[in-house]
Amino acid sequence: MMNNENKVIKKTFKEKYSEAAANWKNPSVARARNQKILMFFAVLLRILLLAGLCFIILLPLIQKFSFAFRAPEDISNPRVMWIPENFSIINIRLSWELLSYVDSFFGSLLLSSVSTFIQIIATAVAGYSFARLKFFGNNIIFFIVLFTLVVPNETLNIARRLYFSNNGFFGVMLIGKWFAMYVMAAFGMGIRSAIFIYLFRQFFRGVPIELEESAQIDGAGVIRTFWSVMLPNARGAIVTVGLFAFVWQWNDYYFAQVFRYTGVLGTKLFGLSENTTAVIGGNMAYWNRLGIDVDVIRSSQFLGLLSNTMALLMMLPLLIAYFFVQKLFVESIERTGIVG
Amino acid sequence: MGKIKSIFAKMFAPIGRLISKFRSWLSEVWYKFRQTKFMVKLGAILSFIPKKIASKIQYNKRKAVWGIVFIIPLMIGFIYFFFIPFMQTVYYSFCYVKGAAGEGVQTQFLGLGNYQYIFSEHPTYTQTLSSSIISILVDVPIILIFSLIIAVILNTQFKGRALVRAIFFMPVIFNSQAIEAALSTSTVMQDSINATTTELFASMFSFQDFLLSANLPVTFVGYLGDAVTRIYDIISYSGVQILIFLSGIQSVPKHLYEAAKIEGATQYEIFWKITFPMVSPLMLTAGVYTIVDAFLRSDVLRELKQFISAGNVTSNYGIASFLGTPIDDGIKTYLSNYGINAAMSWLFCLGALLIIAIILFLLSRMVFYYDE
Repeated sequence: MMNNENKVIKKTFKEKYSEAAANWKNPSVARARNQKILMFFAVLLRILLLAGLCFIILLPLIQKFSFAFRAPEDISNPRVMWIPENFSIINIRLSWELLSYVDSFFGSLLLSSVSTFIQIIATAVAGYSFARLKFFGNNIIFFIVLFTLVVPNETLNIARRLYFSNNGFFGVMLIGKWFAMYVMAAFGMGIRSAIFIYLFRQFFRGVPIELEESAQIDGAGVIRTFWSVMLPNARGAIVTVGLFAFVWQWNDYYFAQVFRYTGVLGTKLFGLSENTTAVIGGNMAYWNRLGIDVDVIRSSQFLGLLSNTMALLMMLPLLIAYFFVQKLFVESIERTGIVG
Repeated sequence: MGKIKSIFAKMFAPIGRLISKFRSWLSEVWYKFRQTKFMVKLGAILSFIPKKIASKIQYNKRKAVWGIVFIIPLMIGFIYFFFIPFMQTVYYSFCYVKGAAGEGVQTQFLGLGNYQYIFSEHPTYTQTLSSSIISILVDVPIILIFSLIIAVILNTQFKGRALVRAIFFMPVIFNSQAIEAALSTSTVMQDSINATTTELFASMFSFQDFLLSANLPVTFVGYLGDAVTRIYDIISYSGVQILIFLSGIQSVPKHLYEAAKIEGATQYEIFWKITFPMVSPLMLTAGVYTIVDAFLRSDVLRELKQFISAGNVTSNYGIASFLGTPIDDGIKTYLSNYGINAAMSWLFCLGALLIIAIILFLLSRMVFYYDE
């Protein structure tokens, strides 16, 4: 009985083998097989490529986390590569206090959100005008706006500094105030406003003209059409512009230098790292109280550790927020249609 | 992920309800406020003139008028925040500039003194400028090709695509000038970090040797090897470009792909015959963005930084005295930091415009427009 069954199985196996061997040279099957193998390698290549690139992107972030939790004694410890031997949050505590984190965080938040809001309104209005409210010279002015994008901001550094420290904006001095950013955003010259104007223009051009015409027939004026018909349709563009404006304002450093305002994370971070030795020398008692060896702190490696931790603290809010809005971020820019 | 989302949705639902309630309450209050006698009268008064105008002017002309009104703030901003500083930069570059905060600026016309100083006396500027222009010209094709490839890959369906996309656009958020500036000042640690990173990449795979042993030309291998060792820079500079290309690929009509598949085209052919021509107009946008972005981190800015504060530089092309008050002994001549900075940044700007013109010219030859 058992023997018989075994035989049957062997037979079928043999049959299968002979079938496969016969099929091996069958051109249609061979093509399918080749395609399968190719697809497998393509997928493998894609996985390897994407995994490698993701690792490269994440590497500095991982490094920063590793530095943040490394004890000051471990700086020159050759055995420590990624995972610290002695965990400590002393770096984070120090950076937290040196940045006066809570204050400057809320400062950054306020400055960024207000200027984002203003920038959205100003650039949407300008973009709508360029897209739909054609007047003589419309295209020339749009070209000028694009020109402001092409000229590097740093070119105007000295002239701006000298000009703004001696002249106000219609009598209001802008130096040392966040108000300067609001004014610049309101007058369409904020951080890379030209890109946003371009985005809004492209978007409004894509909105069907019938919508506008029907609003006009119903008796809506230009402002009413803009506010009630066009803006609600431009949600994708608004989200994109808002996200970019917020991020660029949060990370801004150039305008903070030009207008010399303070109280946000960016200026705090730079101000500290520029004269860290002075900061460290001035806080000797503080270090002693924390029980840290002063020689360790004096070393420039510790300053590097500290500034890495501070950079991490600065980007952490954005990182956390990003993982909530990333889908919005990616999808909105796909929907805005910057095409063309 | 879904669970977390539902938890968050539950958490924020009451807040959302509260907000919507508040909005409806606000609109009710606003409506009641508008219906009061005073507001009705005020509205009538305020809209009297616009209505008079509206009844007399055509809708199209009204649109043009509003267009100009909408542009006016932009024009004021442009003149005040851009045009005046721009012209002043050009003017300062020909001048000895003396001034400080709150003191007013005095200038004396010098002619080409600042430029002569830059070209014949300053040790490094021309070198830095030309090398950074060349490196940008080299970078642009690498970044464009790389971001196009990544966009094509990210457009295909696979598991975990959302996560990969999220990671790829992270550099857009983290490219902070403030952080870069802060980290670049603490050099020792940063150098050691960079060294370990590059070593890590270099030791993984001797890419250049591999290509050289395949008998490829040396310049090509150098170009590619350079790109590979700077892979982190290239990735972190190409976030926005990937977004641009991705949006371009997704706006390609689907029926083109279907037709190609029915005709039996391979993926390779589909890419070269459909995807690439269709996204080629975006090459212009992405290219200009790449150049502008690259200039924000070029080495020239480091040179500019030396001349950012008030002061003088001894030079053969400067002046001995300024506005009647001698600066120093009569033998030495001086140039102002501000003047040199203005001249340098003006040259820098000209370089940027030149590159953009070149790239636009080159790219506009390969662009294909579907509509035409």
